Amino acid sequence: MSDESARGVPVGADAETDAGTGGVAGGLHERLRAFIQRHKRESYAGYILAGPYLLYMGVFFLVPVAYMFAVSFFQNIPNATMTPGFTLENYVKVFTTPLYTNTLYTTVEISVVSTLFTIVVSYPIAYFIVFSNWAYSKALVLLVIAPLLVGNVVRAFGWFALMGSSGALNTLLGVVGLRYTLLNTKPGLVIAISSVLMPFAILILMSVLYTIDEEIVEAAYNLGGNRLQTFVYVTLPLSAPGVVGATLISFVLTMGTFATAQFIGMPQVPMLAPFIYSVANTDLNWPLGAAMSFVLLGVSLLLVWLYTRVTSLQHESDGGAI
Amino acid sequence: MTTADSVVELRGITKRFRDVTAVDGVDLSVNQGELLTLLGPSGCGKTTTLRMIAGFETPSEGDVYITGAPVTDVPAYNRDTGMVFQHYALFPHMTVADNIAFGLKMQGVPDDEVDERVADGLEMVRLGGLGDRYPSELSGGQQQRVALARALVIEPSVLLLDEPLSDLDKKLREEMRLEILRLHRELDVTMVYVTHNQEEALTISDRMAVMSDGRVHQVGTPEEVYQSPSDEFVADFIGNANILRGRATDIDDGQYRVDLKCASEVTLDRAATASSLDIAPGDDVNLLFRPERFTIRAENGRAGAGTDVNVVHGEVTEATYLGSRIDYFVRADGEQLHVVQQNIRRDDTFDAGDRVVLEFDPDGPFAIPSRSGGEA
Repeated sequence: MSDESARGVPVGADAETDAGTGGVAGGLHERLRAFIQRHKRESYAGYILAGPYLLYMGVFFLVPVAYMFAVSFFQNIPNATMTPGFTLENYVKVFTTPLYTNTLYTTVEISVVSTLFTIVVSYPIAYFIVFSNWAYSKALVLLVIAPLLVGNVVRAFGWFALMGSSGALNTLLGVVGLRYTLLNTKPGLVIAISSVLMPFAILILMSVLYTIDEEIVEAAYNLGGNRLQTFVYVTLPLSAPGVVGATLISFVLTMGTFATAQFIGMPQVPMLAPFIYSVANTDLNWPLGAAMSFVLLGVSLLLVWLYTRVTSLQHESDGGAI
Repeated sequence: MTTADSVVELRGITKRFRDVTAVDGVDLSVNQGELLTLLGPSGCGKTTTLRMIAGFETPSEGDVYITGAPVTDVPAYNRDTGMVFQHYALFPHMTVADNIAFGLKMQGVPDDEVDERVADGLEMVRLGGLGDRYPSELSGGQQQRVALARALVIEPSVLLLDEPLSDLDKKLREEMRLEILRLHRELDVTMVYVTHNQEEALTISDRMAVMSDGRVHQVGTPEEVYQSPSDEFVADFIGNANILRGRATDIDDGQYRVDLKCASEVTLDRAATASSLDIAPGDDVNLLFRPERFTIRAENGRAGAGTDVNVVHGEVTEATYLGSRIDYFVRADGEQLHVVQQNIRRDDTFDAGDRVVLEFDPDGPFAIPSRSGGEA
């Protein structure tokens, strides 16, 4: 078996001549041809299956992104258009203008806080849905998914109507002489963004919690671990991949969040996505907008990379965690 | 009243899941140092019974006692049991040593003592030197050894094993079976062992409890259960069984006669009767014939030798040569009998179509209650 394949490989190059001389090698050659045919058919299948998506992403994702990357180095001509060229001035502007750096900082801050808040609230309910014996716990999944069915813009408008200074809640509170402000504040924005993130986080956490073998949890109980010890030493470490995944998705989604940031945050709590929109659409400064987009992307990737580095290091030392 | 040396005692344990009764009024007591198997087909309630001992399930009715103390309402983590799971259930994120140390750490055993006992545990299951490996780096047999060590180092009053060999291939299964027996004997640890494999149960049990439909049919030593099954289910489940229906006629002190359709005249020892049976003349009886209790010979072979008592005349319908033994199916007056003959004599084998005579001793068959209402 192994020596046949060992012979088969080098023969590939001069298979044609072997076939010409006929003899024993002809059989091998035919087998080789059959193998190549089979391999080709498999590759065709690959093209057919993966092709549409790759084509779609190539045309509608890679090309625009590449174009915007080029644009970020173009020269902006105020109130007119842009001229192709190569200048770093847009990037310099992003990093040297306090308004922009503050916006970037706020974006990271809101993203980190929203992500933490989301995970802390999502983990318990995901845990409950997966491990509870309560007959209706699975129905909770529907409740969890329901917010996904409402568009972000619709929801943001709802928040606006509810939390605005002359919104429903303030009108009610006004009766007893109180006022509150959540709209255009950081806590308000964090709460609003988290409500968008939670369905994703819960679904990801659930999918990992479901993979935990109940026998393993029972083994921990059997060995004398109480509920808290079993959770800390067994369930939580085993669900770590879900926590990491949910954190990454939440963070990346928040960094790029637009509708919620636009309606709840702007202008007092500016985040980069709506800011970029106004730079491109109101100021008509496409090169600057493009540069800001790539700074946002770069910072996201950098933080994601750092996070995965830290969590994978932690995972390696898990062995002696107890 | 718990007997002084019963480690586990179940009293009237019933477990219902919604409208399904998984365990139905089980009474059982496990003695100090014995290996008791719970044997039965899947769905018979044996695993549920084990899980109620461990505390993973709460009985709907009845009580569980461990070393004499009621534990029905005690959570699993406060019960003095060790458990070995079918799929090992090792902690995949911990090394072998950390897996074994887990229970000791939960008990608050000091670190240096933990290290010592973990090392001893590894030696005990012959895995010395593998403490730093992760479970995924071990073979199935090694993983099950780790699971054994992990459950034993906490020195539980009783070790519970849930189909511990089912995930292993045949050769490893036999090796691990010997390993478990060795630990059982050397450590004198009480074990409750769940299995659906009757051969496994016969070879390792001190006593076995045969279950079906949530009830315990019989508790006894392997020999008792095989030789003197309490009913048709047990007879059929443990080993191969030919069950023939007949009617009791004459009865005296030591023997009784039975009319069997396929046999001429049958005289049996009264002792070979299930304890729940009290046979009177005219009663229907079910006779269990184990396949190896027949002696098979050619019909016209030593014909005329002796009387025609305790013999069945029939025709071989199937003969399977298995080397050390030969399996026959013999048709006799509408009954299909399974007969096993040791392959002792070269010339004494038969083929399909041969007319044969099956002989048996008066203490060969065993009278058991019938499935329907014979258990008065």
